[in-house]
Amino acid sequence: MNISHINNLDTHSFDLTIAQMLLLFGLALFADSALSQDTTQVKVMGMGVDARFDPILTVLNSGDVVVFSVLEGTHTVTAYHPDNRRPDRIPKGVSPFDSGMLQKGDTWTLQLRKKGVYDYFCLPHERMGHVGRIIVGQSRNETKNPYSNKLLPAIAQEVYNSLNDNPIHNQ
Amino acid sequence: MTILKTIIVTLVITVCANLVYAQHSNHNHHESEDLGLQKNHSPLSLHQIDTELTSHRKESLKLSSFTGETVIVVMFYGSCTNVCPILIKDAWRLYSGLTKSAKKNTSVLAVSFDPENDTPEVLHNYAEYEQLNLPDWHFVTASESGIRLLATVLGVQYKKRASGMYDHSNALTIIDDEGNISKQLEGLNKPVDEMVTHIEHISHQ
Repeated sequence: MNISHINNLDTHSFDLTIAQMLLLFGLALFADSALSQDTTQVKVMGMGVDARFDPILTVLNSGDVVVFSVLEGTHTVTAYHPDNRRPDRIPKGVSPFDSGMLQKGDTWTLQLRKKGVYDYFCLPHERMGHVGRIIVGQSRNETKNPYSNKLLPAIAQEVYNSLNDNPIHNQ
Repeated sequence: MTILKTIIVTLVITVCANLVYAQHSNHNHHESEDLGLQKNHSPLSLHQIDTELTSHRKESLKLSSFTGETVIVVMFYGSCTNVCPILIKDAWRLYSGLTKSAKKNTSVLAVSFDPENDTPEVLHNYAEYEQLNLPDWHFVTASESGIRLLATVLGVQYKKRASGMYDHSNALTIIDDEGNISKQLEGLNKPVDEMVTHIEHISHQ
């Protein structure tokens, strides 16, 4: 089988047997499902009070990769951790992450292995409730109210309270 | 020949119109404009500037209060929801990269562009919120003219928009123990290693 057949199906597809086409189709499906299982997209949107992560809550298996894609504005993806001058809201022993400044068109990837709840925020927009949560290797029900919200800005508290209460955020 | 002239004139007008439109549309779609740093520093010591600064602890300070110390200066405003939190974080990265002995002789001066809103109380809340209410960190305000003078000497440009937001340069400035501008880092989220080394060097001289 020649790869040029795949890229030029409009002119050479008739060279393929039905069996070859089925095999190709199967391989494409397999490749697609293999990729989509391990990679999750989080959109980073908004430029002010509308700044948000979409989805706010992401549930992953250990080792999955999250790709943050900035659609507009200036943002960061920063772990709640004392190294980032915030309360500790990631599993013990995990190095805190911080994307640094991201702008429209930027993507930033994060791979998490340790089981637990990882809360993160956007440095410029935290006070507007621009926060998110990733749960690794656990179900949402196992992780209700994992951290005290006391030290967070009021609107960020509301977001995390809603994650605890409202299943609509569960992905 | 006339047709050729007409075509050239039309092309020039079209290109100019597109450039103006592009600039206009670019301006409208940006959250804020980075004004860049003006490299026209005064050769005079900043300790000669008489501007009275009021800190988030309501202390009255002048730049000469820091004689004998290295100072990291950052200009920002507290209600910024764009780059200032990143700029403040950059100042923190620089400060926290210093050795204990260099830290002992280094202060951070975070000067607000916005005297109207950034009162000492607001700056105090900001410092608390950012967990930067540290002995060597001073979030300060001053009179409008005092802030303008300091910004000019540092080469920092800023202008207030109708929305109350500011367009401004993004820079960290190191002032040595005699009040001279010793080094500057323009931009955001840049590596601070060279600045750290520089402070280590000048504070051990």
